[in-house]
Amino acid sequence: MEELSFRGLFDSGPLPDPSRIGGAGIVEEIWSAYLDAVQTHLEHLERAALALEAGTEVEQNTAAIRRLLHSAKGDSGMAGLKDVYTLCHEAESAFDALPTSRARADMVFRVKDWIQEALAFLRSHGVQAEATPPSSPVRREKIRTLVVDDDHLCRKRIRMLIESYCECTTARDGQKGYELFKTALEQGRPYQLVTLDIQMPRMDGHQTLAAIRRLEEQHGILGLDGVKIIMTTSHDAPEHVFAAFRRGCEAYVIKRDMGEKLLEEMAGLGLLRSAPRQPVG
Amino acid sequence: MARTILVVDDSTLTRAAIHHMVEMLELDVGEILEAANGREALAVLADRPVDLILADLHMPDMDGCELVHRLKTEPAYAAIPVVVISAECNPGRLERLRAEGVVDFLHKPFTPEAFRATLEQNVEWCRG
Repeated sequence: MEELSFRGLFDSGPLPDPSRIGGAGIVEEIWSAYLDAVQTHLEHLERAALALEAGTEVEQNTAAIRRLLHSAKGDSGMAGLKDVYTLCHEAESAFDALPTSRARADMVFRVKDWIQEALAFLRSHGVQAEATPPSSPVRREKIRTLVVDDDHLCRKRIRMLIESYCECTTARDGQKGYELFKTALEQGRPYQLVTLDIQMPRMDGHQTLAAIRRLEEQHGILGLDGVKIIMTTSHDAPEHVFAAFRRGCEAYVIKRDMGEKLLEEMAGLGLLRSAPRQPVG
Repeated sequence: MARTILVVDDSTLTRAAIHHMVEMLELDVGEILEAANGREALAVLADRPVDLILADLHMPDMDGCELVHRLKTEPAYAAIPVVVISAECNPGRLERLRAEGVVDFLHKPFTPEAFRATLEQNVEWCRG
């Protein structure tokens, strides 16, 4: 990936075009949390820089800017935005090197504008287009799958069973699963398959199933266009099975039969047609 | 037995990233508790047993160094493994923290692989 240089922060020199930002390392699952966090940092940065420029509470605002640049750097690093991380790192050094409050404030405004433009670019061009390496066509064909189960051994087992066909994300309870599903849908990268346990803390499988179908309806996704949902549970009591089908699941797999049944159900739903043919196990 | 982790960091993003890594790495973690500073962490600990603490250093109200000191001088908490997660590079400071009983350091930003390696190396229930 191209290394961008932000040395222009030290002498009011040019900065790279924000549209050159690299998005290849972005951690999709925390992308929206990152956008919220960095937006807050930028708003506070602007306020502190305006105060610094006006000569108001210089010491306090200087300390605030140092802290905010540090936070924006840390958050960008954790979210995989390497260029923003480097920009903030350079900005921390430039801030200390610049001779006047006015020059420091100007530099902070430039940092804020660059980050905002770069993030706007990533948003408008789709994060995932950057996030998926072009050299992995097989991965791209895999079924985007969300595995929701509160038992980590079950999550691991399901993942092992289907990972030849599926790109799996896991969640430990229904609420977390629903949040991940919602984020993916809103980012235009909806999951194609969800496996749902029934008995889970915070939000059980039935509630999660109903919430997902409600959300799809709000987005105008109806009937066969919806995500395929397979309940994976140890509950084989008829009331659980019927309740799940009433709420809109496509299939129901009892965990003790999962080894054979899960892939069978996936095939029955037409999910394995375009997937890579590889041995499972 | 699923374990409980306490993440102490004023960055909501780092807390979210750790949630994501725990999910992704399939660690045997039942619950992730959160605190935004040392004071909140002590309040959580007074209420709930915890198997591992991941703590940032630079936080408002009560920072990570003060938190580590309080934990390691309080018999009820002294045995809980603490991993420091920070962008801090000051070797003297890190050495002092290790002498106080911190098991390891994760330098921010860190990858899921580094996260896994650090936990596996230092925390028995994270192995295998």
